[in-house]
Formats: sequence, structure tokens, C-alpha cells
Amino acid sequence: MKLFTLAASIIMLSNAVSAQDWKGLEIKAESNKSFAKYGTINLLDSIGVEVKENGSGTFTIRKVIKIQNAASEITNRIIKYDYDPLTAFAKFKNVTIYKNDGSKVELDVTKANDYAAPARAIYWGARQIMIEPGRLEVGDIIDYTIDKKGFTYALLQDNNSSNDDRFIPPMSGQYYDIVPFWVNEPTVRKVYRVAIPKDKEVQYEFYQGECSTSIRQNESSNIFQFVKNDLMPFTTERNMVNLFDVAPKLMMSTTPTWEDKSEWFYGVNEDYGSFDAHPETQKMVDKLIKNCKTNMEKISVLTHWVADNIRYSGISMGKGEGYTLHNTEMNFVDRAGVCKDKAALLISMLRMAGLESYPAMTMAGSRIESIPADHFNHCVTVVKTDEGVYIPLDPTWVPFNRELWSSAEQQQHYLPGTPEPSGLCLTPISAPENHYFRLNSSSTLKEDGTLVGVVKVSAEGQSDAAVRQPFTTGYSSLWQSAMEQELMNVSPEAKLISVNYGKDPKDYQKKAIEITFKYEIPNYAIVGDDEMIFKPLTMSNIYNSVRSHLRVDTNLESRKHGFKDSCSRLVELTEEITIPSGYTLVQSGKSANHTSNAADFTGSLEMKDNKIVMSQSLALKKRVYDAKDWDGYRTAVNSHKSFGEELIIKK
Amino acid sequence: MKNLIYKKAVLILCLLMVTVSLNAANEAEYKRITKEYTLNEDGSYSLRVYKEIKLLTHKAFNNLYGETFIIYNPQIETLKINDSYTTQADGTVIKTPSNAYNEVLPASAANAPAFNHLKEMVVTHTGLELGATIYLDYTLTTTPTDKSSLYFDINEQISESSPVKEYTLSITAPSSLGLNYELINSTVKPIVSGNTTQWTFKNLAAAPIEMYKPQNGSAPRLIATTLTSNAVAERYSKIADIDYKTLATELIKDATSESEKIDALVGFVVKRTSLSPLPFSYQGNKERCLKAVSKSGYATKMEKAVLLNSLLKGASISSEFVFAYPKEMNNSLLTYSTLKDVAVKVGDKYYSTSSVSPIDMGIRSSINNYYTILDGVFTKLDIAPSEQIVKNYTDTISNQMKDNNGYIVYSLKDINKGIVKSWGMNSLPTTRISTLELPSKADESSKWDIELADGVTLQTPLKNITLNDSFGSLSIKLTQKGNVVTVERTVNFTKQHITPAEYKRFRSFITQWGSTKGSTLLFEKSSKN
Repeated sequence: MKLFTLAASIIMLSNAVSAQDWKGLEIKAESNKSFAKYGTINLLDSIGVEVKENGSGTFTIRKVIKIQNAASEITNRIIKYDYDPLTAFAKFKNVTIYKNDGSKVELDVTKANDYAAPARAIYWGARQIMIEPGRLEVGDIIDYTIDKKGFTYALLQDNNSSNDDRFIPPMSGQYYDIVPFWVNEPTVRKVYRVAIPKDKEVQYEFYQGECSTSIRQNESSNIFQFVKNDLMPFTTERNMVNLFDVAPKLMMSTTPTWEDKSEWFYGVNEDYGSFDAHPETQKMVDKLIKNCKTNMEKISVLTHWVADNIRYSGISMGKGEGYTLHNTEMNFVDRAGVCKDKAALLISMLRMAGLESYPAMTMAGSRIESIPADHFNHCVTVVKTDEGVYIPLDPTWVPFNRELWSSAEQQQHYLPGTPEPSGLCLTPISAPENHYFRLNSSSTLKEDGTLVGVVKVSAEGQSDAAVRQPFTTGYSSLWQSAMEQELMNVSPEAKLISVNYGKDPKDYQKKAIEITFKYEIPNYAIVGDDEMIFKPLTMSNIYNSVRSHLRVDTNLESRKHGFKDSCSRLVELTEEITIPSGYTLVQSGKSANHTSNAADFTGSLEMKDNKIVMSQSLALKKRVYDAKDWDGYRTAVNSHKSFGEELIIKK
Repeated sequence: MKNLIYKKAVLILCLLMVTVSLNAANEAEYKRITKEYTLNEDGSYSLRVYKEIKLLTHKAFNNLYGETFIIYNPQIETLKINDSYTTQADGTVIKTPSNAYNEVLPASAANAPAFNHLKEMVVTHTGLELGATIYLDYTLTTTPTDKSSLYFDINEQISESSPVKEYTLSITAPSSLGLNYELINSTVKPIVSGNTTQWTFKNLAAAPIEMYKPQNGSAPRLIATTLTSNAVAERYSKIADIDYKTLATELIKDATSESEKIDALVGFVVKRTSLSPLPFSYQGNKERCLKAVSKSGYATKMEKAVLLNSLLKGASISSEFVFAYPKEMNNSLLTYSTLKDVAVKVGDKYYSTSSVSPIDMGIRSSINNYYTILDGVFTKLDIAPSEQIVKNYTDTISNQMKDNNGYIVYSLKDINKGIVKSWGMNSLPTTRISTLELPSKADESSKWDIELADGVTLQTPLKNITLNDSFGSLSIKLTQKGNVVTVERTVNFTKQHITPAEYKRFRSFITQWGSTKGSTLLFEKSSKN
């Protein structure tokens, strides 16, 4: 009886339904006029999972796709699926093409390709399966099913014996999943169905939308089903937050709390020996911290050394790769690794320097929910300070950056794997002044429209890293032309008379960057018979790459979703333009002052003797903003932009 | 004597400073590169590569030289890594571990089941740091199973992104194979010893990191092949005769004229057949058959050309292949490795197979030679340079236009749509090492007649700018007659290659062409009068 129940459940989950069970969905698609303009329609997009006691999953992935135009013919001429052979196995179960002329082609799934996927930077043996429907025609329907076993991401489990053990998640017995319920193509029916052994307690939540939910039971499992019908591609806004933060999604986990995950994460890496001391590494640590007087200095020196000298390149350690932090010896000898390996070496080195340090998991790019599903894509380090608090360090995101934790990751969740189990933490907001960007310009406009002068740029934090980038990651032979290019962004006719970026602009740890340009720009102003028109130089494309707020579309009057800038930032611009004698500014001077939770702005422009004097201060207070912050942010940025309007002087 | 010692010391110091400054501008330095080709009587061959590179900057190991990528075809080649290790700055030797050798699919073979067998061996160099030296030694051996793969055809650029102290390339080949070779852009003479011909290049400068470098390259390049142009031409000649009537008939069934038939067939190849970006040299003489190509829905550039030509033939429309080879190439070396592009000629139109519209072959006629096949041999085509483009615009400045305190700043309509503007050369750096190649010659002329409404006056002073140089001429004229302001802009480039000696003048010339001075006008509205 038990056997029968299990078999019945597998059949139900496999969706191996008899031919053309999608006919009803096709009729629904045809009756939905808003689907007509799309090249591809997903009639069915379904995942069925059978979870075992040990937490491993047997997945049945089925898609039924209708081709509606030539671009879709080309896109769907092959079907591909990625998998990691160390933790999963995937194969095509069946692929049928229902041709628009009524004929049917069953593809021979034994002829599918299974091969090492194209790769750059991470070489862990990722594979793809690919099968070829070949030339399709409008009206054709592809119906395919993939069988998959294993898991896609979790952390280290020390397992051995039979071959199938590789499919057991490292946190044995636990199951989780993160299921996006947004689509890129119109989808008539999207289904996620999972059978989980009855003795496992499941937490789940459907976020940012609604779906039809059911829970059924058979003898051994609870079967959860989530269905959404008639899905249209999610409407996005420019500069919006990640889709995971706004679009429908399902989060599910059998792990009770984040504290449980933290405790496990701590134990698993300690047990593996990721941070064991290594004599050669110890020698390097001793050399690096020789002149450090405080623990904070040691933390700084070691973080920057790992950031700059361990290159981002992943090679596989074999079993456990992807969720195991490489050990000290491997990281130090290879001098290469991905985020988790860089984090691991920093932990080892901090410990060798007498500090208490552990790994942490984080999600760069989107929020982590309260349900402890492993929604992580990045690994960092935490270290205990003299004050007894843990601070995060990110050796992957701070190469040649004056920060220890990249403020491009502020307002980001992370989960430390510490001896005292931790809950989910959030990185704090970094004050705008930590990332100041200053331009100080003094110039003279000649009667023929030529502008001559000096402009000094100075920056700190993330702004420093952006200004300094040509020296730290650019070609050494292009330093001068990079400086020249910055001026030519103002005008192609700009002539760089001299530039002073100090003795060693690559030495980012010495002091915040300062660069002084002396220049001449012929034809800077548009010259009329008695008048000249020009923009303030500080508002004429110079270092726009640093000013990412200028790439946030402030034409939008309102926003439905939250939005992002690259970092909080303080922009301070001062400019003084001496104009030819006899000329006067046509416009009246102006000033502005705006304050909000999101951004502050103060600015003034006036004529003083024969000079136009401008001053601006724009404080952008966060990296990730709520939709309700938009009005304050937009008002401040638009006010700032208005100081870039053309000035007219007349005789 | 003391003075002499002092002078010597100064000289040594100066030399050291030069070395330091040279190093400061380079990310790394190749101590040695050796490539040894050994050809066998049956046409198979092996290639042994040895390289030794010292890393001088973080960029060198973070972004440039951390991995070596070796693409090969396991169906006919075997790869053996003879040795790989890193010597760190303090002399510690780090042997490349076994997990640092990873095979992946080359990106150019992605999404194409027919090319899924190709491999790219990624050798990750470990232990890299400032001052480390990478050593790599590997051998690729061809083991062909079919006779058609038994040929040797290389096109090697002797240049790297960092300077090379010594670069040696040798080919050992039995005389019976009839090896044909040519070294271009270099005066280095080979040393011939028995069956071995060896070229040694000393102190090669790094390839400059500059935009608009000559497409055909200006670095030394060795072409060597056991193929002959005639054999390649003869093969394409046979392919050109194949028609694909069944598919062509289906595709043109609704076409009522020859031009509609051509559009239908070109549309099928361009829009309904995706491009597989496999280089000509990887595919060589292994194009798939027409049926396989059309059934799969993807094709390489050459396969697309073959498909289009056969479809046209199948529709009884006369067509022929047109092959583009670098102009400086000896016409006995027209093979797969030297082929730059292929198109299909129908009447007086050329189709590239990546665009539904015919292409202008004249654009590159000064840097490429074009060949068709006549009587089974490559025959040079004379393709005339593109004709002058003339555009005329009219516009009106009304009193209703948006102003700034009574002034209107007006940019000429479509000012950025010209050919020369489309090259994106608006902000070129002031210095240049290599020859600059213009994307094409150009001869364009535009005229704007702008009618001013009552009360609108032109404030920009009238002007006439004229420049003439060895590479071309330019003229920008602003005139006014009554209430019509006229701007005439003409530019003409008579050659495509700008030498470093001409560069400064060229930069000033092209900057003048892009300047707002010649494309932006200032008007004042009546309310201010």
C-alpha cells in the first residue's frame, strides 16, 4: 500500500500527462488578446518536486512553449538546461514538437548533448544539457520535460559512500526553495508543486502577489501546490530594485530559524578545517602586521592585502565545491578563489593575527526574507572588534578601495556563522560624507568663447574608488589619456595643459584621491554678436561616471517600486567663472534649498563683480530607497540638475 | 678617468630609468615565446608552444594573464600540457595543480549542437603575484581520421599585449608538402636549416591599446599553408553550383517578382537562421550540408553564404560568392585562415547575410581585395569606392520655439547622422602610436536651409571654415540671404590610413568637424528686440 501511494505521488508530480493536455491552455492563450504581440507564449511552466527524508529533491521540470514569430523560432531552436554535476544530475525525459500542420515529432532524448558549459572566471565544471528541436515555424508547440535530481545551493556536508550522496544537501534533511513567480514571456499557467515528508515542518510565504495555494496529503507526504494563471511579463521601472524585492515569489524552508542556519554554517566550516593555520600564510601575516599598532590596523592591512592580491578566479576543489570554503593552504598557494575563498583566507589570516573572525553569507542585489531559505549569492567575513562587536569585511568588493566593507553593499542582509548563533543582520547606511565627491573650478572665459582654468577633483570612499579607477584597474600606459578623456567629455576641443595626480595615484591607502587639471577649451561658449552662452564646467559631463545619480531617470513623476543608486554620496561643487569685461549675466541669480529623508540639496548661483559664482551641495542619503523616497530624491536631484542650465552673458 | 666613470654611471642610471619607465607603462613582459610547428608527410602536424611571462602589475594577474585559453578540436587534435608552473617573486615554484586544468565549451561554439565537440582548455595559473613569472609548455597534435582534414593553414599574428623579448616561430615541413608562406609587416628573414624554417623576433613592442587600429593588423604576421588558392577556389566553385530548389520554391511561393523572391530568400537566411560566430579558420573546409543547415536554424557566416547562394540558384536567380581578403595578402595565400569575409552577389548588389539590405562593398575596397570565382579560380573584382552622399535639409525657426531668456540654441537637424559622425571619433586622444584606420573613405555633403520667422535673428557670426590636408578636405560655411540662413558642410576623406605623423593634424581636422561651432547656431527672438 505504501509503495502504491509513493508511486501515485511520483506520477502526479512528474506531470507526465498524456499528449496535448495543454490544449485547453492554448485555447486560453488564443483568447487573451494581450498575449498576441509576444513572440513566445509559455502555455505551461511547471516544477514538481519530491523531497526525500535526507532533503534531496527529485525535480520534474516541464514547459510547453508556443512559437509566435521568427525571433522565437530562432530562440527556441535549442533547449538548454544548466546543472552542477557535483550536486545535481539532469536529463531530458521527453521532448515533443507539435507542428503547426498537425504533425508531431518526438525527439530522441538519448541524442541530447551533455557538456562542460562555456565559462569565464569560475571553473567548477558546470555542465549543460542541450537538445535540438531545430528549425521551428510559427504555430509550433514544444512540450518538454527534464528530470533533475539534487540541489542547487547549500553549504558543506561531509558525506561519503554511495554515488547518490552527492545529491544530499549539506544541511542534511533540510529542504528549501526560492521560486520566482514572475515571467519574461506571457505564461498561461505556472505551477510549483512539492511533496515533503510529513515529519518535516515547512514554512512558506508567497510574497508580493497572490497565487492559488493548496495543501494535500498522501500517506507519507504533505503536497503543497502554488499556481498562478495568465501571467504577463513584469512591468519594470528604470533604476528599480531587484525583481526579487518587488515581483511575486515563493520562499519555502524546513529550517526553523536563521539562528539554526547560522549555527550550522559555523560548525560546518570549522569541522572542515577551512581556517586551519598554515606556516607560509602565518609568515605573510607576521610580515604584513609587523608595524600595526592596533587591531583595527591589522584588520585593515589584512583585508586590503587579500582584496588586492587574491585574484577572483574559481577552480574546483572537487566534492563540496560551491558551498565549501577552500582551506588556508589552498587559498594562499593558489592566490586565487571566488568570494567564499577570499573570505576564508581573510578569516584565517585574521585568526593568525590573534583576532576572532568567521564567515558570513549575504545576498548582493536583493533582500533576504525572514523565512530561512538560502537566498545567498555571496560570502564575506566578520571580525570581532576590541569593542566586542562583529563588523563585516568584504575582500571581494574592496580591491583598491579605501573601505573595508563596500558601501555599494549598504542596506544588505547577511548571516554570520558565529559560535553564538546569529539572526539575520543588516549592514548600516553609510553617511553621504563618507563618499564625498568634490569639484572645485576656477576659470576665465575669453571673448572668443575659450575657457581657461583649473579644476580640482577630490573624492572619498566609493567615489574615491570610481575616480581612482583608471590608476588601479586601467592600463598603466593609458593613465594620461584617461585624464585627457575626462576633460574631453566636457568638450572634444579641450586641451589638457597639465594634470597633477600625485606621485602614486595607485596607492589608495595613503590618502583620499585629489587630481588637479589645468586646461584650455576653445569654443567652450557659443558666441553671438553681443552674447555668449555656456554651461558651468562642473555641470558639463566631467566625472559623470562617478555621479551615478545622473543615471537615475528623474523624468518619472512617481514610482511604484523602490529604486537604487550605486551608493550614498555627497556631491559638493564650487565654481567661479571670470567673464570678459563689459559682459553681464542675463539671468538673475538663483538659490535652492530642499531637505528630505532621502536627499538634501542647497545651491546658489550669482554674479559677483565680473565673476559668476556657483555653489552646490547634494547629499544622497542611501543606496536603496523606498518608492515613497522618490519625491524627496527627485526634487533634490532635479534642483541640482537645473544648475546645469545654460548661462547667458551679454555686453 | 673619473669623468669617464661618472659619464658611464650617468648612462647606466639613464638606461635603468628608461627600463623602469618602460616597465611602468607595461603590465607584464614576455621573456620568451616559442611556437614550433612540425608537419608530417601525411599532412598531419604538431604545434609546441612555450611561453614565459613576468607579471609587473596587479592588472596583469587580475585581468590579463591569469588564464591561458587553448581552443582545439578533439575530433582531430590532442592536447598535452608538458609543463606549467609559476615562479613567485622570491623564487618559490608553484606547480599548476590538476584542478587548474578545466575544459569548457568555447563561447563561439555555444548554442550550436554541430560544434558542441569543440573544447577550450582553460589553464588557470596559480600562485600569481607581483613579480611572478608564468611558465607554460604544451603540444597540440593533429590526429585526423579523414583525408580532407589533412592540411596545414595558419595565420599567426606575432604580437602580444605586452612586450616580448624573444619570439621564435619555426615550421619543419617535408618539401613534398609544398608549404607556401609569407611574413608580412616585418623585415625579419628566416633561417632555413634542412626542412626547418625559423623566424626570430627580438624586443617586440606591446601592441598599442588604441582604437581604430587597422583591421588587417600592422604587426608582423606569418601566413603558412599547404593549401593553394586554386584548391580552395575550386572547392568553393563546386559548392557554388549546388542549388536548393525544394526549399527555395517553398520560400518564394508568394513572391511575384524577382526582387520579392530575393527579399524572401535573403530574409530567410538573415532573420530565420541564427548566426553561429565560429571563425572561418575553425570551420575550415567543414561546412555542413544545406539540409542540415536549414533544418537546424543556425549557420556560420560561410554556411549562411552557401545557403543563400544555393537558394538563389534554386530560384533560378543568378548569384555568386564574393570573398574578402586583406589587400596586402599575396594572392597565392587565399585560404580559410586568411579569409576575412564572404558575401553573395546578386546582379549589382551584395548581401552580407547579416542584413536584409544590400551592403556597400566599396566602403572597404581600399583595404580589402574582393574575389569571385571564374572557371574555378579566384578572380579579382574591381569594386568602385562608394559615391558621395549628399543630403539636403530644410527647417524653420519660429517665434514659438522654446527659448532661454529670448535666445534659441539650435543644433542642425540630424547633425549626428552623417557617416563621419557615426564613426564616433569625437574625442580622440592627443597622442597615438599606431596607424589609424578610418572605417571607410567618405565623401559627404549636407546643406541646411533654415527659414527664420519674423523677429528671429541669427546671432552667430557668419563664417567660412576650410581645411585641406593629405588625407582629405573639409568645409563649413554659414551664410544668410534674407530670412534664410544656410549651412553647408562638406567633408571628404581620400584615404583610410592616417599615419602617426599625420595624426595630430587629423585629430584637429576631425575635432573641427565635430565641433559645436560648426553645428550649433544662436538665434534671438523678437521679444528681446
